[in-house]
Amino acid sequence: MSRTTAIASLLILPFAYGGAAAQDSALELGERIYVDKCEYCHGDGVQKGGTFMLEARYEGELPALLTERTNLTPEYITATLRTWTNGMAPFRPTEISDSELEALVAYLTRNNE
Amino acid sequence: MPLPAGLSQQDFDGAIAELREVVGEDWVFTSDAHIETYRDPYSPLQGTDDEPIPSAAVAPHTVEHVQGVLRVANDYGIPTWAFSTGKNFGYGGTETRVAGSLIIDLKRMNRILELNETNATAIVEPGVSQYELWQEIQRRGLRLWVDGPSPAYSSIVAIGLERGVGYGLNGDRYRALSGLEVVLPTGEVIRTGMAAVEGSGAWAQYPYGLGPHVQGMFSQSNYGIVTKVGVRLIPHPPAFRSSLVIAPNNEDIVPMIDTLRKLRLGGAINNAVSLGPHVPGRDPWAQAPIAAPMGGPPGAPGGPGGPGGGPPRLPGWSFRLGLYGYDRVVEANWEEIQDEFNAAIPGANYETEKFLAPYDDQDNWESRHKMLAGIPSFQETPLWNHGGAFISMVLPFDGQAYWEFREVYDRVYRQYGRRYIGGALHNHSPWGLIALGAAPVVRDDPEANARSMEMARMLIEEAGKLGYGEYRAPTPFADEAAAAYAWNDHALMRFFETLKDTLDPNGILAPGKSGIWPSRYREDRA
Repeated sequence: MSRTTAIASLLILPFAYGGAAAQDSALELGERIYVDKCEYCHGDGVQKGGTFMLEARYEGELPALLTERTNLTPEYITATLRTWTNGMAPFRPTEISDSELEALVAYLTRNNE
Repeated sequence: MPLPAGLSQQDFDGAIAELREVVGEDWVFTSDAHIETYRDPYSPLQGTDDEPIPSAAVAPHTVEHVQGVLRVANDYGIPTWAFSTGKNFGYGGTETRVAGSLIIDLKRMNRILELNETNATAIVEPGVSQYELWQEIQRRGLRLWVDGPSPAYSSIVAIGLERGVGYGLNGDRYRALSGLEVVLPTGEVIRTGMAAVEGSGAWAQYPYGLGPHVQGMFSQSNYGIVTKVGVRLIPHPPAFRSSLVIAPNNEDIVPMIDTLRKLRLGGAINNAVSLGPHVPGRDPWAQAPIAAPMGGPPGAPGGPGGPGGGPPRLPGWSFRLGLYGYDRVVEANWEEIQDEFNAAIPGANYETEKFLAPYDDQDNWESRHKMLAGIPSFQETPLWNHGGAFISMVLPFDGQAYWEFREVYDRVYRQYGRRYIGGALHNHSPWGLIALGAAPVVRDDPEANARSMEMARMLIEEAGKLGYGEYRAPTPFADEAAAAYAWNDHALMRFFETLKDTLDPNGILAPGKSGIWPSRYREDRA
């Protein structure tokens, strides 16, 4: 199986058919995971390496804070979490499980247009 | 993904089914996408036929699960590789020695079993990261610091067992461990030190117990899977001073090391110090520049060396020290320390800041102070597209020895188009100095990585001629690192192998870790 196929096989559309309650709960879970496992690098303020790197990369063209982005796709988030992408080491399924990843995708794509 | 050598697909499928019975359907991983996360992103073997890609991963949640996983591995003869949590960048990540190994991922064993503010101790499982322990300390409002390396997602247990470094009072991470619970490869569970006494309140305080002190056998080894550990923490001192000592000239590294030795041995400086090339505005932690591409004008990192073509001339060196204790004692010590460096190094200068308990604003401290105190930090989190494998030698704590070592390392680096800058020199105990080198790893460039591996082997060989060996070896270089410990025709390795064959008769646990191969692999490799 190629890496691209492998990544695609992980994707599950985030709660597109789950109704409002399921959507809320996915967002809540996604936010909790973000706070626990992403924010220490991607949060706001000094000493946040991920935010620092994204500021340098985008030079103001896109928000450095992931929570302010409106164009992150499920595919991109999944690839970043599960493979060595953009200098960030992958998260193993014991660190962020597939279902937690779905919730994280729901949270980070909640403002997408 | 590759199967373990000698195992049919049918047997492998049978083993996977049994593993699922042990830990549950959701906690055995065989998909390519999941296995991808168990490859070392910074492996010099990446993308080559020699990269030992795992066959599967299994995530036990209890000691009984670990026993069950080892039973299946013994029944089928599957090589395994246990990994706690974190990344282990520069030392191999989760990389194994044998293709088709089963990764035993211990992240789900992340319970904090005891947290004692009075004794400043904890008992934790291997999946607990520094950051998670810190969050719990914060949640309970305890006046304790942790210490450890940055980034803080590293496992408290693993960084101790790998004998890694922190930066504060407990910077010698192995010495912060006290009392282990270990599942032996055959499935038997033992506890060491006071942990072997039922109900002992000193499990995490007194590591020795009675009889042989076997705790060390389970560090950097493949003799068992550690499932619980006592760990010492740091009580908040009344005062804490964090100081950067800066030496302004290239040659100052010699008196800087010698003066530091005097102050470390004399007890004036007690934290694990990291020295490195001075970069204004930056502290010399593990990310201090190790090497630079060759070229540039005099004074540039890769530029010409000193008279006679020696290593690059650097515009100074620095290190950060911490002083902890009663305010008046801290201040008196700080005065004496400055006097010593002023006498040894003309033009020595300092940046310093003092903090007094209670440390209610510690969350807002700069990372360099947090790291020295023992507040987990992510300052050093690597965000590189390319990486490296550390080749880290134990030197005598002696300035002239390091001066000569730099020349030897630089000579090797130059043969590969680079200059050796100096990296970080770790000093986690007062009795030795660890000099970091690194073999660069370039993403998707196996040819460059092959040259890098060649350079790493030459660094190990040349350092060996000076009488130096590595304190810890990146997984792909474990055999070369072990070969340096050759006194009396490799008697030490024969002893390691005797232990291995006794404790792990089927040779299923981490074959090749630290260069220790079980008999069935030794025969194949002979």
